[in-house]
Amino acid sequence: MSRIALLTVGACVVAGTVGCSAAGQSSSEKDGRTVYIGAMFDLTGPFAPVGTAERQAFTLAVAQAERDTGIRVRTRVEDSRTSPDTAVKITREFLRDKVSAIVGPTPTQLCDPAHRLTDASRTPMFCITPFPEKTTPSLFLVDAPRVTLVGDVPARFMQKRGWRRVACIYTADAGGKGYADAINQAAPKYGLKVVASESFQQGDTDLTAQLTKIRAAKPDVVYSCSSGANLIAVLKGMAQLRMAQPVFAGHASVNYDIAHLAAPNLPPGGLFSDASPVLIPDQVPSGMAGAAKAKQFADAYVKAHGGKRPDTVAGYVADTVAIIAQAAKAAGSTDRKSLARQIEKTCGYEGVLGRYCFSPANHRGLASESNMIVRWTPTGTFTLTEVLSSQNAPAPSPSAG
Amino acid sequence: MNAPVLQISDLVAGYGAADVLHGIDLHVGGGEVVCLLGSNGAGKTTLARCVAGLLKPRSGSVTADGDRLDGLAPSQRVRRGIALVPEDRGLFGGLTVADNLELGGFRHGRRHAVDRLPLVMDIFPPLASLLRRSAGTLSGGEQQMTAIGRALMADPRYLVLDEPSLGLSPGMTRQILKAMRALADDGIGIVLIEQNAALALGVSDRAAVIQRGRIAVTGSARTLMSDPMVIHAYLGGRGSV
Amino acid sequence: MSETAQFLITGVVAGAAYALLSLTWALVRKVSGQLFFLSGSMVVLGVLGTNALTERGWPMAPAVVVVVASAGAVTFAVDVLILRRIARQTELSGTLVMLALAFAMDELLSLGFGPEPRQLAPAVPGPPVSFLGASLQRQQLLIVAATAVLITALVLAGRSRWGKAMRACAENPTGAMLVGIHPTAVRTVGLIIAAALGALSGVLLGPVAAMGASSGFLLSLKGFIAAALGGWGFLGATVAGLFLGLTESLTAGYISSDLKDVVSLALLLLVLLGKDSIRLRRRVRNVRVSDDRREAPLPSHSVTD
Repeated sequence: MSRIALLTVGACVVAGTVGCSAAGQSSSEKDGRTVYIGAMFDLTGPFAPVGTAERQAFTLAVAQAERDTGIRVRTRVEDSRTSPDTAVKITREFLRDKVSAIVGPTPTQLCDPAHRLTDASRTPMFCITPFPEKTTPSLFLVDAPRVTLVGDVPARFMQKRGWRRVACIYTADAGGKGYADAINQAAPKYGLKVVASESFQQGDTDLTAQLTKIRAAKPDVVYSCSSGANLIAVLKGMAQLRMAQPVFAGHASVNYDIAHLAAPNLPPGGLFSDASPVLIPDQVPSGMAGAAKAKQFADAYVKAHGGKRPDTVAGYVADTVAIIAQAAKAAGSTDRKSLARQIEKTCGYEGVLGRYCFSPANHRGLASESNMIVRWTPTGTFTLTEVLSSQNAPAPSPSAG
Repeated sequence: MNAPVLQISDLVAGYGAADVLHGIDLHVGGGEVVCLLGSNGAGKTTLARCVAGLLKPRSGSVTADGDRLDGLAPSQRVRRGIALVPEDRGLFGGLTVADNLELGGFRHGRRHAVDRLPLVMDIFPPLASLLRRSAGTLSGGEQQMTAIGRALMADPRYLVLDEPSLGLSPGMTRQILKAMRALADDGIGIVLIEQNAALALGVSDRAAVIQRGRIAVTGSARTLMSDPMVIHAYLGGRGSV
Repeated sequence: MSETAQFLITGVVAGAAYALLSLTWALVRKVSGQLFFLSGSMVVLGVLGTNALTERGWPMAPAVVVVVASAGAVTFAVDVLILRRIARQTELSGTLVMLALAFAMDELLSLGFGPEPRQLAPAVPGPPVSFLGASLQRQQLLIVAATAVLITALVLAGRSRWGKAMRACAENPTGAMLVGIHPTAVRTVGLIIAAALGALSGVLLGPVAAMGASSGFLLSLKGFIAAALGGWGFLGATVAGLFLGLTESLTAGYISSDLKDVVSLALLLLVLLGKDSIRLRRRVRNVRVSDDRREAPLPSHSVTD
């Protein structure tokens, strides 16, 4: 069944997707009741697994946003092919087509050049990545800054577990280096030391040389500073070298497909990562922001996609679309500048990832409240193992896994 | 008609829009050497390719021992006893001489190759010491012997040689042509396509001149050797051999 | 101390994988002179197809047979429908066609199986083994053994009558026709065998490395580098593959992991710039490992390895 769905998605992509979007045709956006969103996802290239999942979430999110707000959403979806040049080209086309807002791109190296164009034309762009350090008047992000998300959060957890010596194995691209920088910055704040730092090329599957050097540095924990299936290469290499240390997975590896691949390769010390409400809707403590919405979205997603579960990236897309639609409704207009200003006024909106509060000074929105840490299981799922509260107040947490 | 003969009748052939051959009639019987003379572009190689099955004629026919060869691929013609030694020799440079020879008998199976090899060694004794050499490292004359030897491995009844003397010294050429004569005496029909007429005519029974796609002169080799036009065009102005 | 052993053993295993990938390139080059850019796609098909079947409950052996046969069938269709129809006027146009087919095949794999990477269960389950002070996955031992077996089989097949006939076709298609070999049929058979070997390589490598549709091109490139570096012969490609694997591993181990890929790309540049300067030759019985289609006598070059 999912194969048919995939082939359909593929056919839609090939045919140019406007006809496949849930919104379909609608009248001009000047009537304030139709907001035109241009979206780009990596449907081909190394980020294709991420992009395809985003695309699926997007369709669902658009339908939900229309239902929730009564605004019509017109969409145009393009394949950014994990290529910065393509992302720039698509951005130009979207701007020419006068979109109200842009969702995407995802990889850091695509967001950087693309958002410079949208800044010039003051069109709000939501990159689906936490990595740009600074936001600009038109760039919005739906997650905490890089250092916080992929630096502080892991570091706090490692400190809590008493793992002082950290080894970082990172991909030699913008994303991987972002992780490495983040943990290097965060480590001293929590009394940790980065004792080894080795790089590899995206897609490399034999990391034994790098891991041998890491093993020699005797770390307490290995941080997989990479995205996607690169984590699997790390796990396999560690298994081969009989390294038993616990592993902390990179934020962009956290999804059910990778969990399935990781399940037979779990290290004896355990595999951990951060988790968003939408990833583990059944385990989120009920008081936590985003719990209710996450459950609702996850149920709808599972129903729409034949049992497939959404991940954090799907949550990004869902919340992004919802925020844009909400802002369009509140502003009573879908013109790009009013939209941007309205988004900046949005505070208190609860999405599937948590509660958002934007402001002119804060384009990131997601208030970093608690961060959940999960342990990956041999059945390809996640078990909540720790809740890190930003106020250091005791948080509801099951016994450590 | 029971006498073995390779018959080319009214052959018209060409490449693209133009015709190169405009109706060629030629025949060679078993045990005959027929020399085909002509300058570059006259159509000699085109004719050879038609006989071998590398080029499909537009009209006319090639018949071997009464059977028409229309539509037969080169590999099938090999089975019918037709072998061509092309102008560039067509050797497999990366393989050894032994391999090249062995492959000549490819269609006939391994045992056949084992049986034929001594015969080929008899005809070209120098090959015996070259068997392990890579074909690409041979001299011109050695390559020619290998190429002809390879064609002989298939036990042909008719052998077409396209410019065998190309790049060879006169001494080497004489050796090769002498071997051809010996083969003909054993019953093989040989078509010798040549520019170097002097030596070739010496071992031929009959000859023909092809000019601009047509047979201009035909007759016994001796007759052509004293034909003034032939002398002027192909024998360097003198009738000497 | 055991670090050196680990780097060396890792290098050998990586080298075996390189060699495995390069064998299909060498085979197709020998048989038809073409550049087999589809090799990576076939490897990926091996992984994705076997994974798809085993996840539906198929036992490993029949799944592998079906997948390998499918790879052959797909390549046969590509050859008959596309490759044969395109007159190979120049090597460049033939290469471009092969490249385009490889990209198209990767797209089809992505559409059919999804873009997510997949892995296979190891053929030999169990913990890693120790070998001369280094640690190896059992599957890696299998890869090295299988590579050795395949290379031997290919070299022996190349010396058989049929093997020589296939090589003859690449050397001189006209000459081959004149002795009764069908170059077209031979080309097709060569492609099918190469595709099947590629899929088999995927089945061998799948437990060691998760692969997705987008992995295909990089795998192709690695095979190309090893085959080109080794002069397009089976033994040459093997030695080149080992050389690449060891160089990469030692570079990553002792110099810097950042430079690992730079090394292999630099070596490829060397090959492309100075084709005659690195060539492998074996003087045993004048059997030439490297492929040379010139018919003039060779200039005498010193032997390098």
